[in-house]
Amino acid sequence: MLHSRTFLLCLAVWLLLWSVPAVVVAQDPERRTELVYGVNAYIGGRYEGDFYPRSVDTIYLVADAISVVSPRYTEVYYWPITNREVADWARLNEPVEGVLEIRRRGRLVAGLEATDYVVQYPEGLDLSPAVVYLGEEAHRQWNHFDESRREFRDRVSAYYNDLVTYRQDLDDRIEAGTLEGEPDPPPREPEPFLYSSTEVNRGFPVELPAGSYTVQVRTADGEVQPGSRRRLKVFEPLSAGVAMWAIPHDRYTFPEKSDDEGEVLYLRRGTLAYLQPHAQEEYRDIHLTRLMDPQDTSGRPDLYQWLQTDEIQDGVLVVTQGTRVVDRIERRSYAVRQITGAALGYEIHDQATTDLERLRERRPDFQGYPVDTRALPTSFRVHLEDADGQLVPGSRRRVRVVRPDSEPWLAIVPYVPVVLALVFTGSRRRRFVRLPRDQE
Amino acid sequence: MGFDRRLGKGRLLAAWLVCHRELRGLLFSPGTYLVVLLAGLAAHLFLNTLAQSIADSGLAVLSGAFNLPIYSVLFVTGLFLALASVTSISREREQGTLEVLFYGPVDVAAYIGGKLVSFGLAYLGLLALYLVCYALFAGTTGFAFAMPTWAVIGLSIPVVMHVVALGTFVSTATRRVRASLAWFLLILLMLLALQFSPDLLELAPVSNRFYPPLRLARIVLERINLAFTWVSPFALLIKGTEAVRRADALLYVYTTAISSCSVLVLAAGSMYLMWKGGVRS
Repeated sequence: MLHSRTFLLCLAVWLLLWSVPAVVVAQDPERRTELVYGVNAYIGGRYEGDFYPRSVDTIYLVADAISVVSPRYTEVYYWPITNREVADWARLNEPVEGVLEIRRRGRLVAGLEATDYVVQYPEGLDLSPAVVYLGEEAHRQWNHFDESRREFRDRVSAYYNDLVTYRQDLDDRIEAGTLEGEPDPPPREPEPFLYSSTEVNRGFPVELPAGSYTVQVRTADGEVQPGSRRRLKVFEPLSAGVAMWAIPHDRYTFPEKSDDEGEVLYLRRGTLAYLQPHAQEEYRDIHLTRLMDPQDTSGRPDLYQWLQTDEIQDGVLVVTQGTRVVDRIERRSYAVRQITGAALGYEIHDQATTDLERLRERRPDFQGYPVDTRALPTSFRVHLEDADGQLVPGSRRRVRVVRPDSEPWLAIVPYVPVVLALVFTGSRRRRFVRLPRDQE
Repeated sequence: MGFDRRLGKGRLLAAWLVCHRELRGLLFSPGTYLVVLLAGLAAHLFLNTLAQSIADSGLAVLSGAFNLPIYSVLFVTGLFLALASVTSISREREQGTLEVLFYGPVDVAAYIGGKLVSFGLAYLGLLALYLVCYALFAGTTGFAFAMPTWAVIGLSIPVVMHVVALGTFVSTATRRVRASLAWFLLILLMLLALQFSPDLLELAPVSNRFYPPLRLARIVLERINLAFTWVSPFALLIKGTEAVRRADALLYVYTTAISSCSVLVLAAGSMYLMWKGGVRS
């Protein structure tokens, strides 16, 4: 009996182990080697990196700005979860040697040699426009970045050492009872390291006027590299404008964005909002969508998109009512402080007027033009004036201060037509009175 | 029955009588009041929700507070008037009214012209009613009629007339009310499908085995849609709205002109079909 039970237990364990490999199936998609184009495309002051598999036959670039294209062999596979073709750069990443030929209507426009390049954001990734360096300069700037990074690391290390020493010294003085009055301020934390850079890569820098081209790689033996021919669409912004970001005082991390002058900013009475003007460029939807994501084919040629670039840092916000200037608001810097304790919340301090020294001296969390509805009329306009006192085109906006609720009697208004209908029907019935049955 | 030269100024009178009769029909139709009720309820609901959302969040950016209610109302009103135009002619033909009418001093130009003018006036009347209603809401809440809203309202007039003229055309091309309705709805569905199916095909996975034919289908549909830009009221409305958003006056005028020309072409087509087909069921 015992033997048979042991036997059954062993059999069950064996069956379980045997079945495990059958239910665990690896998601290992089929790969194929392809010539793809890796592209670092300039758009609105930054660079977007993506790759163009063979199934995407047109490369999109912005006119009159350096973008870098890099034809490479890699392994491409289809990933159903994201519905995209994906490159396995870790398995294969082999540059295609040769000259990048750019042609327009069959005529050779440029024959480009590959060069080293680096893309850097000196003031931070989303805080300053990108700069691209080519050739020897790329190596020099990369070394500069590397050196700055090392210096920052040393500063951080020194700060922590100083902090340990400071705390130790403070503990010793407390223990010895020699601490009198306010202790010395703690060492200052180094400024954050925002400088950002890519590594030195190799590619073909392309800078062309708007138009339709073809690109291909010509190898050293004079032949066109098979699979390297693609169409190249170079486009320029259709217009420029100003996007107005409105930051409500009570949720400063979620700004509302107004792209064009036809839009109205509605504010609740008593709201304090900060306006942040941003430069913006308008592109065709299809061009911008494809540049941002070459595999996204949802872009439409008959629609347009605004792309916001840098924050406009100069100028005065002028508040007008009709032709009368109601107020002129200067740009101010703000520091946000989390409320201490269990409750969530924060305080926004104007750095110019706050009593807290630490908030005054630190880097501002955001800057903007404060619009206080308590001190302004219910309907007004705002626009940005540059340093010369000229209106910044595209910066005009209408602002309305709305009541949080409507009059209760308004709920009756939609039913007025029904009453009218009943009146009409009644009057018609009176005019066309039915005859009694015996007279019909 | 065709274009009777002897009618002269009498044609205007005949057209006005046809128009007057149709307007009376619409005035006593419960559908008209239902549409107005829907418009008022939509405005009240949307604006109350919006006011509540601004009260909660403190801030909202809108190209027009009335855009959403106006779009929904224009769509419903346009569809109602188009269906009224579809059923109007074929029902009169089916019931024999048309034959009796044409024994009098009425020709196809007076009849079709009168019908179209009546629907145009009905739309303008309804629009005026909506605007009064919305002005009351705007006055008490503080919401504004932004410039783009006015531009969309202006654009809606030729677009709605375009749909109505299409309904009239279908109605003159068919003999029975059911057939008119079926054909009209089929054409509307086809135009809607042409407008939005390329976007739906976009959802097809990139590398499955159906992708190449679906991609080809998308390109073909886009090309057909491009050709239909000249006749589809939906395409013209989207183009016009985009022109309003971009403040592109030239594109706005172009869209309005194309829509107005389509109304004239469809009206002429309706007259021709009625003249060729006769007035008997």
